[in-house]
Parts: sequence; C-alpha cells; structure tokens
Amino acid sequence: MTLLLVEDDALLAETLTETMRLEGHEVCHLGEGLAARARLSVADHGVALVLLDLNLPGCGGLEVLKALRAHDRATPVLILTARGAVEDRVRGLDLGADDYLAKPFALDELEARVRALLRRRSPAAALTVGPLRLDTQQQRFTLQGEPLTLPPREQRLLACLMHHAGTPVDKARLAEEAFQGDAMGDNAIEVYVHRLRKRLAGSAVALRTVRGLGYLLEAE
Amino acid sequence: MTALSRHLRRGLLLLMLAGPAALADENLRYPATPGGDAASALVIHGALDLHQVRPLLDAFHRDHPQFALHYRNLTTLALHERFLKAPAEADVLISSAMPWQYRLANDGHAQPLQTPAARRWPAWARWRKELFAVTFEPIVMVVNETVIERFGEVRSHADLLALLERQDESLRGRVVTYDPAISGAGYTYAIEESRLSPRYWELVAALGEAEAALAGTTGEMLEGLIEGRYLVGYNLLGSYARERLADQPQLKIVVPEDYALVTQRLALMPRLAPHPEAARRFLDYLIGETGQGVLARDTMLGAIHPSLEGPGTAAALRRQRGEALRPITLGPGLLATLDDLKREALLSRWRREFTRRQRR
Amino acid sequence: MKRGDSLSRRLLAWLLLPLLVLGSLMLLQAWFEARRTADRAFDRLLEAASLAIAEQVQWQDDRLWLDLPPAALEMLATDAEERVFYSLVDRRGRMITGNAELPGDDREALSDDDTLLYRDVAWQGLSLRQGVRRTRLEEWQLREPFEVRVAHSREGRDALAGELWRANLAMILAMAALAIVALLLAIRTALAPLTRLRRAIRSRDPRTLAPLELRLPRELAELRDTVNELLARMRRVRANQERFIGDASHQLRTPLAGLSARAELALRQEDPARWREALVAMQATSSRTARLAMQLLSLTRLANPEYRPERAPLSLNAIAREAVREHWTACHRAGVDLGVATPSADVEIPGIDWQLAEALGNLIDNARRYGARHVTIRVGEQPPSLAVEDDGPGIPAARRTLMLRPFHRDRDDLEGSGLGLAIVDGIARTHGARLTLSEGPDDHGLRVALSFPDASPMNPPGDAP
Repeated sequence: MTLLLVEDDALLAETLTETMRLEGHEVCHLGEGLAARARLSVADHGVALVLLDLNLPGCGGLEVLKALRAHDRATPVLILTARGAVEDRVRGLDLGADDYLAKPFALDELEARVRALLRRRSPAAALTVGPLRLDTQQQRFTLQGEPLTLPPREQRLLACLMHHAGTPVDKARLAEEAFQGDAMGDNAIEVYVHRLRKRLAGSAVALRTVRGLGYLLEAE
Repeated sequence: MTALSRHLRRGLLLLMLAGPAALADENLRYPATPGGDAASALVIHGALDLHQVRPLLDAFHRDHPQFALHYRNLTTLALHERFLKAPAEADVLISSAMPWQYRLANDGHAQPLQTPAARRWPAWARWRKELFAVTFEPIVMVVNETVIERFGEVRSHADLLALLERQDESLRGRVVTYDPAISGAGYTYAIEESRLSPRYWELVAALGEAEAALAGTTGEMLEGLIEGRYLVGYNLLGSYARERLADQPQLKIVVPEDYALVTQRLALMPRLAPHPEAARRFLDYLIGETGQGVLARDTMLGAIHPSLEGPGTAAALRRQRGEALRPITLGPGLLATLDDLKREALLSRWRREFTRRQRR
Repeated sequence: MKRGDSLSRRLLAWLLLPLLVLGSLMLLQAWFEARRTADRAFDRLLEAASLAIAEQVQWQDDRLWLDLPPAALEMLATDAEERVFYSLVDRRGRMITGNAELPGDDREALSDDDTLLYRDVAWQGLSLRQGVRRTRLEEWQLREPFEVRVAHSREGRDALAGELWRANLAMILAMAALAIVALLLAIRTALAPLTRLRRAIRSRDPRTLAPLELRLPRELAELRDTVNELLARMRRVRANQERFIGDASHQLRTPLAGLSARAELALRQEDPARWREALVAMQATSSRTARLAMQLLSLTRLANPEYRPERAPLSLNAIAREAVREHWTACHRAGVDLGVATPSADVEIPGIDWQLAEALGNLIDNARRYGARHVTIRVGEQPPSLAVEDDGPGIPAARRTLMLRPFHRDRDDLEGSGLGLAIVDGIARTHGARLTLSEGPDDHGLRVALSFPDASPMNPPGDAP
C-alpha cells in the first residue's frame, strides 16, 4: 500500500514518512504541487491514499485535488493544513477530500484517521479493531483468534461500530445502519450495547459511551 | 345711404371719371412663345392710349415672351367699375385717376410687391409697397406766341394772374381751362391748387372775369388752341400737350415756375390677380430701370426712376423747375377728394369765385 | 460622480428656474405695456382727426354737412402708411359721408357731451383701431347729435409697440445676464468651503489619523466634526491593533525562545534520559505555540470589521454533536469526559457553522486545560443558546469580564494563550449573541454560554454588530 505525501515542510514530511513507515505503509513524498498534480493526473497512479498539504509551492493543494477528482473519485484524500480555519475544510471537502486534519495534530490522531480511510476504501477486506476481527465476507467475528458468536442484531451493531472504529457514532445513526427499518428505541440500543460490552470485557477492545451522543469502539 | 344719394354718387362718378383717355374699348394682345416654360397669361387693364403703352408692352414682351399678354385700354371710370364688379379679372391696373386707385389700395384690394426694385422706389412715388406711381406728368399752361409778343412772357401763375387782371379785351373768352364740375382731373387739380395757395381763388375769379372757356378734356383744350380759338390754356396735361404740340411752334408749353402740379399714373396688383407671378414680373419691370427707360425714351409720360437722366425723366424736369414741382401727394388726403360733400362744397365755392366779378 | 447630481448644478437649476419664470412674466408684461403705450400715443391721432372732422360738421340745407379737411385724414397716416377710414353718421345711424361704413360703438358714453371711445375692430378682414366721437352741433337753436368715426390700420402701433418692447427686452436680458453672473459667483463662493474641505481631505497623508483642522461654515463644520469623530474612533482601533500586534509578537517570541534554549541545553547533555525529558518539554511548548499562532489568526480575522460572511440557517444540535465527535478522542485521552445535552426538538439559528465550531472547540479546550473532568455541551431552546459547562475550578465573578481581553491569563496559567475567550467573544458578536460566564451546575465549575437573539421568522436578525 503506497501512500502519497504531498508536503513542502521538510521536517514535517520526514516525521510523517517515518511514522507511516513504522505503521507498515510505503510512502512516496513529493514536496511540490506541480509534480503531485502530474503524478495524480494519470489513471494508473498506484496510490492508495493521499496526504495533501494545501499551501504548496508550484500549484495549490486544492488544484491537485481537483486534478485527481477529475478522473478518480475513489482514492481517499486526507487534507493537512496550517490554515487552521474550519472554513478551508469546507472548501476542501466540497472539492472531494475525504477528511481533514488541522496542523498541529497529534501523530496518533493522524494514524487513526489514515486507518479509518483505508478501511473504508477496502470494505471487502477484513475489519480489525485491536484483537477484534470481522471477516466481512462471511460476517464472522473473532476475538483474540477465538470465534465470537453473536445474535444477528448484535452482529450488525458491532459491524457498524467497527466500521466507524475510533470515532463516536450517533445513536440515530446506529439505529439506522444496524437495525434498518426495525423500530428501535434508544433503550433497546443500550441493551444491546450492554450485552456487547459484556462479551468484549477483558479484551483490549473498549466500547465507550459518548454522553448525549452515542458510542465509540476503539482498541485500548 | 339712401337710393337717392347712391344714384347721385353714381352720376358724379361718371362725370368725374370722364378723363382724358375716355376712349373706346381697345385691346392689345401678344401671344406667348410656344414651348416656353412657365407660360402664363397676363391681363393688364389700363387707362393709357394704345400708342403710349405699346412701346412699353413691346419691350416687356421681348424680354418675357413666356407671357400671353392682354392689354385692355379702358377709361378710368370703366376700369374702376369693371374692377369692382370683377376683382379677379386683371393682374395689373394702371390708371391716372389717382384718388380711385388710392382708395382701392386703402381698402385692401392691392397686394404688395416685394422686390428690390420696389424697395428702391422713391417713397414719395409709392404707398406702402402696394401702389406705385409710374409716370411723372406736369400740369402745364399753353400760351400762344402772339400773347407773349404783346404782353411778355407768362412763366408762372402770378404772370397769368397779372395777365388776366389787365382785363384786356383780346383775351376775353380766349382763355380755356378745365371745368371742375364735369372733369375729374380738373376737380382733382382744383382741390390740390386750393390747398397749395389761397390765391388760387383770385385766379379763379380772374378767369371768371375773363370769361374763360371751360372744357372737359385736355384734348378739347388743345384742339381749340391749335385752331386758334384760344390763346391761353391753363392746367393741361403736359404729356398730351407735348405730344400734340410738337408741330405747333406758335404754341408754347409753360411749366409754371412758382408751382407746377404733377400728376402720376398709379399701378397696382389686385389681391385676387389671377396670375400673380406674371403681375409681379410686369410691375417689377414697369418700375425697373428698363421699363422706366422705355417710358422716358419712347413716350411722353415721364419716367420716375431716380437713376434715369435726360429728356423725359422726372430728374430732368426737377433740374429745370426744382422745388416748384408739386407732385400730387400719395396719401389719405386723396380720399377727401372722393368725399361727396367735399366735392359739393368745393364746386360751389369754385362756381361762386368764378362768377364773383362777372356781374358787370 | 453622476453628472446630474451636483450640488452647484442643483442650486443653479433651482435659482434659475424662478428667474426664468420671472423673466418671462416681465417680458409678457413689457409687451402688454408697450402695446398700451403705443395705443395711447396713436389714439391721440384718432382724437385729433375726429376732432378736426367734427369741427367741420355744419347744418346746411336741412341736413348735416361736412367740408372734409384732407389734413384730418393725413393726420391718421404716419410713416407706417396706415390705411385710413372715416365716416360721419347722423343721430339715426345713417352714414352721411365717408369711405367706409365703420361699425358703431355700443358702449355707453360717460357723459352726454363730446365723448370719444376707442376700440379694436375688424373691418373687411383688416384689423383696425377705431375711434368714435359722439358729439352734437353747437348752434343757437340746433343741437343735432352726430358721430364721427375714424379708424386706421395698426402698422404704426405695432411698429412702435415692437420698438418699445425691444428696448425693454434688451434691458431685461441685460438684467437677466447680470443676475446669472451674480448667481454663478454666489454659488461658487458659497460652495468654496466644500472645495477647501475636499482639498484638505485629499491632500492628507493616508496614514495619518490626525483630526482635520479647518475653519468652515456651520453646516460643514458639523461634517468636519463627524469626520473627526470617525478619525478618533479609527485612532483608537489602530492603537488597539498596535497593542495587539505587540502582545502577539511577544507571545510568540517567548515560547520560541524557550524552545531554542531548551534544545540548546539538551544538546549540551549526553544522557538520553535528559534528551527525552527535553523532547517532551519541547513537544508540549511547540504544540502550544502552534495553537497560539492559529488563535491569533482567528482573532485577526474576527476583528476585521470588513469581514461579514453570509449567515445560513444552522442546527445547533448538529453543531454540538459534531463538536463532540471532533474533540471526544482528544478529551478522552486527556481523561476528560466530554458529552452533549440536546433538546429533543432541533434548534435553528442563522449563523456561520465554522465559527460556532471554532467557538466550541476553544471552550472545550479551555475547560480541558483548566482541570475539568466533566465537560458538557448544552443546547438551549429559549432563547437559542450553546453552552459549555465544566466542573473545573471556575472563575470568580469579579474577574470574568477580564477574561475576555486578549492575552489575559488567569490563575497560574502556564499553557493557555489567553486568546480562547477573546475569540469566542468575537464570534458571539458576529452572531449578535450574548456571551455570559457563570457558575456551572451545582454552583461549581464554569459555564460559558452564547445566547442567540430569538430567530422568529417575523423578526429576522439583521447585521447587528
């Protein structure tokens, strides 16, 4: 899996390249906008994910994004910028970026976002959250290598949480994605969450409550 | 106005208009040159004998052959009456009856002529731009040489008065003048003379004392003078006298030195003239240098145009007589001449003066 | 400047218009006056002529008799060569003599004696001025009344009237020209101070904000004072900005100096444990500095009075939830429990989503930094509000307003920049919202709330500051 890092600041680029390599990704670094645009303008660019700075020499990051999105809507793009304002994020997302991270950011935050984007890109592959694993083809869960058998509703709930692992998921969204059509009250969801927590107890996977919002699944 | 007074006026008119040109209806016609552009008719009514007007019309037609010219010679009375009856018949009216012509213009029957020639025309010889005096004819005395031989020169009214007051038998009944009661011209002159000088009435009385003969026309007086019946003629129309007496050396024409009336023929274009353009051209010609030149050269009528010199022109006559010349004023005073009561008043005075010293 | 909209043009138009009307009226009046004068002058001729004629009227042969004096008629004709008409009419209205049957005059005479009436008549298409003299014979026995009517055409009168009018016209035009010149000069003089003011403003150094010192008439002095007030406000704003920039550069320089010094110190040492210690400290300082720079940027943008972004209808619930999603992980890692409390019905206000997100981010950040363990974002319905409550130490009421000033830091604040609340305050003002600091629930901690103006459809929020 090759990640393309487009970033002109040498120190930051070096740090990020190192971080991603340690995560097990191959990283190609370009320090300038025109080269990045040239690279991404061809159909066969071979890039799994783009980490894109907006303020670039040569040509702006938004233009690089436009050039990519002109022919390729699938490859995920994570925007990194020092501009800070949420205003720019809107423009970036409007142009087809998948996520946004304002500088300065914590490295583990970046790692989590990259993981999430890559996971979303390959739904066919198996999902893993720490020791928890889901074979999406067969809808089979394993926890620490042990098969985990669940009733259908808990299966769907856990699959949904695994898809969004690392980010809080609204109760409303859970109700919609995990129990499509079934009239489920908030209390019912709490019941299933409670049961899941029991099953996951003792493992390195935590199902946390986000007050007033919903739940979040993460590896500890 | 009662029928009676209307009848009276009519009768008076008849009498007064019986001027010197009281001849039969005569015509002169000139055809238009065929093919000439802007061909038009031109009708002129005039109280001018054919032989006097012919040179003028010949010259005009030579210069303007596109007009089919018709000149109708009428008496001053006929001309006036005919106009009142048919105001749209003639394009130009020329008449020596000055008060009548003036009255037509005053009543708005004439249309103005707006040409450079009209603007240059002397103010005393026109009224507005409507009425133009085109001739200059002094009123003269004619004296037989025998009278001069016997009594000396008669050069002025004063000389004539002195001559008459000699009460010489040889002159009794042998002086002739107009009868103002039957001649319009004579009446006009009487009015003018009575306004010029109060001594006129002495002259009338002297004429009466000399038992002067009274005639209706200049022609009549000239005839008597040529025949020798009269020795002195008073108040004759100069143009006729010069024409008729050219071969009578014994008769001397005298333009009085103290004052000499000058009569003028007045031309106007009726407002309803059927061919106004032609009328303008003719009238402009008549008061132009060319037309006036013809009058000076080929007629005895006398030309007024100020740039003309030499015999037959007003300028020549003025140089000879200077301030003594009294052209009849073209003004509203002429209207008084036409007033019936005025006429009656003047004639009765005239008759009274004429007979004052005849009682013997 | 639009051509039609000039002050001097306006003045000129409003002064010239009445002047023109007045001038026209004067010309009209002058025309009537000239006609009257000409008529008066020429009517004397009618009077003299009719008298001259009347004097010649006698009784003779049992009827009226007239020896018409030609001079009487000649009197009526001047150089203009008027047409002349007369008639003598007896008591029964019959014409005795004359050259025209002139119409009589029906007006009542003022007296039975000799009277003369003038009027304009039309006779056979000619327009004439007529005088009718009513009189009677003055003989011993006989006092026969009769009328002398004289008339002449108007050429002479019209010529005289025209001449008189033209003389007046020249005078009126000269007066009008003088008036216009005076007007132009007056307008120019009156507007001269305006030109001076314009020159004074134009010739100023664009950087100077000193007040305008210029003697001006009262109306313009007010304008000058208003401009000076504006300049004074701008001076205050600029002083504020200068102080802010000074503070900002100081704030940025200090941590950078610390970073540099710490790195230098670490490089002198050989113990990897010390290095690690230095790196941890430097990491904390650098992230704080980066955050500071970002906040400065936000504050600068919020402080720009020209910056007025469009407001769109927003769901406060969605904004609160999004903020939790955004910051939950960071809070959780710091051991802070972040939650949200939303009403069941959605609350909508017109606003700018990214600004509100930033405000919440700052408030959450503050709470976390100042030692809160529980942070709750609460959405209120009446009035619409966004509040961040924490269970931290709180701020004493007396010092709350101070907290809104940029770079003001309270307590033993080692981490904060002192900009967070200033930014929130700026955002609140952009939204016309009220920012309140109070105790949190159970009378401890801090509650920071943005209360928005009630956005009922009848009363849409304007661009209130």
